[in-house]
Amino acid sequence: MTSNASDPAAGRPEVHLPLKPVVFHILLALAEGALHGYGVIQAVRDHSEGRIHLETGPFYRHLKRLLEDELVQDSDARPADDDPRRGRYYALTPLGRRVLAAEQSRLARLLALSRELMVGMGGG
Amino acid sequence: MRGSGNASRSALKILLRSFPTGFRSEFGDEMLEVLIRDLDSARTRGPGQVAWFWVRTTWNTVVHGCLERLPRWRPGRAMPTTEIGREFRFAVRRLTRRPVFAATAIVTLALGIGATTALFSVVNGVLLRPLPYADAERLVFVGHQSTSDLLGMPSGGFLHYSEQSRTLDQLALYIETSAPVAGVDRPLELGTIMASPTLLSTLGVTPSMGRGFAPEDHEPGANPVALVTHRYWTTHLGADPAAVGRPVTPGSNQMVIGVLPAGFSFERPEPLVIFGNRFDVPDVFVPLTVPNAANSRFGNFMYQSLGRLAPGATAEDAERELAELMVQAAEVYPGGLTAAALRESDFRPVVMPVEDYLVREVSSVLWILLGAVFLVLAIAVANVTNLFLVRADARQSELAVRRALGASRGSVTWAFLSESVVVSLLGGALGVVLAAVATRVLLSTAPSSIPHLDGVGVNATVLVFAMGLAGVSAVGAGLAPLFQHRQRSVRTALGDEGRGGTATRQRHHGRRTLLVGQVALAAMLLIGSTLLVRTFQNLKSVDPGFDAAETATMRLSLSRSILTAAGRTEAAADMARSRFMLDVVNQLEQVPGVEIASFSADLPLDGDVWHDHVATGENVPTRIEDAPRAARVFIGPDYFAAIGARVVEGRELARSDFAEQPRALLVNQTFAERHWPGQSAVGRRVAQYGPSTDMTGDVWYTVIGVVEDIREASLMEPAEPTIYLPTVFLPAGNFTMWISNMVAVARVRDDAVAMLPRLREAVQQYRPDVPVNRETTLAHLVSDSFREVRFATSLITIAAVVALMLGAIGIYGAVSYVVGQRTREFGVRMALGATAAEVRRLVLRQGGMVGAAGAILGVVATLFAGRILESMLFGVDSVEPSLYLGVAVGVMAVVLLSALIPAHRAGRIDPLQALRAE
Repeated sequence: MTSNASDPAAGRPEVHLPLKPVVFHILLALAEGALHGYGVIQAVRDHSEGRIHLETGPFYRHLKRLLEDELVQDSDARPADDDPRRGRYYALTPLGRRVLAAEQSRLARLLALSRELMVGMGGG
Repeated sequence: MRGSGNASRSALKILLRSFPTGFRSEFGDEMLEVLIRDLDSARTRGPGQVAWFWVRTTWNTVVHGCLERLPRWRPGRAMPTTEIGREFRFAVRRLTRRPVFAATAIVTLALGIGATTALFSVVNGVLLRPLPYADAERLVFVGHQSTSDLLGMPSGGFLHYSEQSRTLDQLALYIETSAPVAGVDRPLELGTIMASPTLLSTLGVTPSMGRGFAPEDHEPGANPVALVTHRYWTTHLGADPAAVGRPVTPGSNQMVIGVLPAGFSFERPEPLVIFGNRFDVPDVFVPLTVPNAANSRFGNFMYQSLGRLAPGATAEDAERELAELMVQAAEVYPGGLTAAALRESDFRPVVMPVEDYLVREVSSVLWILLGAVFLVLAIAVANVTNLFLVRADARQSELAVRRALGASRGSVTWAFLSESVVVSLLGGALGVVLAAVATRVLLSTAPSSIPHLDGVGVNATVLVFAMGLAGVSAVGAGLAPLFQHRQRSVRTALGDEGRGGTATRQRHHGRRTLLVGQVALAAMLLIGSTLLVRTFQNLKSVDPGFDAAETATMRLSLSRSILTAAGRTEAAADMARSRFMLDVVNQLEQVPGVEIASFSADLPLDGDVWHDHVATGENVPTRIEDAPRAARVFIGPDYFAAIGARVVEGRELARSDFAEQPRALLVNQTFAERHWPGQSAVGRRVAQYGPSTDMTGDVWYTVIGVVEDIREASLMEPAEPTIYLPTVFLPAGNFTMWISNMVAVARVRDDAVAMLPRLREAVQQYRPDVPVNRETTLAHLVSDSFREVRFATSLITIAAVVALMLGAIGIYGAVSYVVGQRTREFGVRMALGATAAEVRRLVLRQGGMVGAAGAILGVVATLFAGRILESMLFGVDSVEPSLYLGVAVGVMAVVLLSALIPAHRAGRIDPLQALRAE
């Protein structure tokens, strides 16, 4: 598989949609700021109120993809209390932010549509 | 502060090795730290959480590590899909540019997949098809076995087992019989089941219309009632909703009380012959009156029995339990076999899942055949794999360039897989078409002994099977080159190109292994086919003891009115039947072209043979179990003349013998030699053991003649001691229920087949109400008796020929390829003074090595695997050395022949041209 950079479609957020719920959560976690791997895992677990129990192996596979697709990049930002064991920090790329926003508005449209239809059907 | 010990750390490191190296070097350390933090937090929450951590981490790490090793493939995302789609478009384009390669690969696969799918569709329909009963896996056939005969159930056994068995929830008795029906244009026979009260509940079926049998229906003298199948209701009763309460057939006093649900049918193995009665699929069920305890013995095995296992019990459990109950039953119901007799004569109960019972005759044949076609498929896949290996060599530089330009491993994988997937899909599709055609052909040639062939066809299961085969071959053929490719660096691949050097030893090695395997498989199939062809020839040359040429036969169903014409006693019925048949014989002899006619209850090679314990005037054992056994056949006058058997001493039964009940019989030579060696048998006395063993009453017969041995049961087995009794002693059974079939035999001057319609007409003119069926010739019965061998022989021979052809093509292709690769080397050799003959020998030797290795491997493998054929073989040893040697030599010859053309080509290489071409 050739790298994404050579593909003209790669810059467009739509080609990455829809996102898997886990991936959406990972991007959400990183939207707050640069985080190390363990922090992302913890954030996803917290945000989803434990419904998504992100395991280490799957997480790093997703992370690798996100790095390959250039939605996420290494970050130089390090907090003052940094523990070297935490390893690399990751942050969203501009493309990653656009993808996250695109997914958010896609989900919002979907939600709006479903509410509208439920009202029309007399449900609720 | 770090709670985790080094052991946990090492364990996690080992788990992380599931991930590919590149992934580990990027994220490995981080992942380890994250996992350890997880483990630490689990430790704070107790040992249960720690255990859970290890379970999910092991699972997740190993599974995802392996998944990560696969090429990245994200369905639904635009970019990679188009890339895969593009790869497939390229594959199709590349294949169309190499039509010979593509066509060879597709047709080869189609042959293999087609043959395997066709046979699988038969196996699927016959052996794997679920029975039309609820909880069919708990249904068992219950019977008895002594020596090799599979016997039914005596009423004493039934009563005792029903009462005492804990492994059987239910037990039912039935008798299969037939009743003539006034058909539309001619009388027909109707398969009928006389069922004990428990039969339908054992089968788990209730009528969809009307009612089932009530207890009073089984009382002697009850109004005759019947249940009919849905099929009968539609075909014979016009699907009339008001059919309940009407007669089963017009004019019958048997009233329909219910219709069984659609889809239900009473399954039984073919062929079923009892007392010469051959039955159609049973459509009518009538109540059977089971003898009460006072009238039951453990001695008459005329009933069949089905049982339903208790939950949790197996057939083996039931068999063990019944073995104990059987001895008790013989004591509780005296007058039949004694407990001592049962113990001494190795008599034992048999409990067999109905599914096995139904297909016991054919399953081994079908599995062997399926195995044979799988070998063909293996050869086909090996051939295609080989083609792809050669093809991969040609693509090495293309792929090396791709990798050098940064193509990922996944994309290289797809570059290989795409072609093999396209080829396999096309081959699979063509294979399914071939299978559909082949299945039709198979069905038209299949022996009638294979049950429920009507369920055979290319259906969803078969399609899934075929596509599975295609998928496996796609992956196999597509990935094999990849393993070779992986091991070669870009530099070697590019460096090789253009220098025309010999391919690396390793790549040769892979192809050669495949070729050796192919030759070995072809040799195995050839040996199997040769064994069966020999068997077939041996069977054809067996002297059956009669002259099958130009003897026409037909079966007549004698109705109750004929049997009771002379009065309502059993003896009168026995006589009436023979008198009627004598009249039929007279009618047949009026037909021009008929030389002599006769009748009998059974024909040779046509179903089961019945046995009796006998005594002779010289030897009257007091216990039945000490008495020798003999096959027993009921015949009419001039029977041996009609079937062309030779009476070697005395005379055969004459028509005058049938005026009353003559106490005369004939014996075969084996019987005479066993009992009166070197002496004359005529005038000696022979008795049948009846229910009582005291040998009083009319049990003695006088031998009036000795007939040359006739193979009654099977061409494969020499004749047993046999007695031939006049049909007047054939018991008509309880003639109010039993219908009797007799066989008319007519020796004609020429063309027995052409005579059949005229013979039928003669019988019908004489008695229009007597159904005539199974019109055939003795010659046909003989060839029909080895139909399974013939079926297997033709299939395995076709498989072997296809296998050998594929093998030869494979070797030709491989050797040609090697010659092409080594053109420069041969050119150099010849320039340096090697002669054309030397170069030819060099090439031939390579082919010969492969052939020899394959032939040896095949022979050795067959020495082990050949035994599974043994049950089908006749007159040939499954490990006969000359045969193995012959096949090995034959295979070698074919291999050398297919290497000859490329060798010849190598010998004609012009050294100047070969060197200049580089």
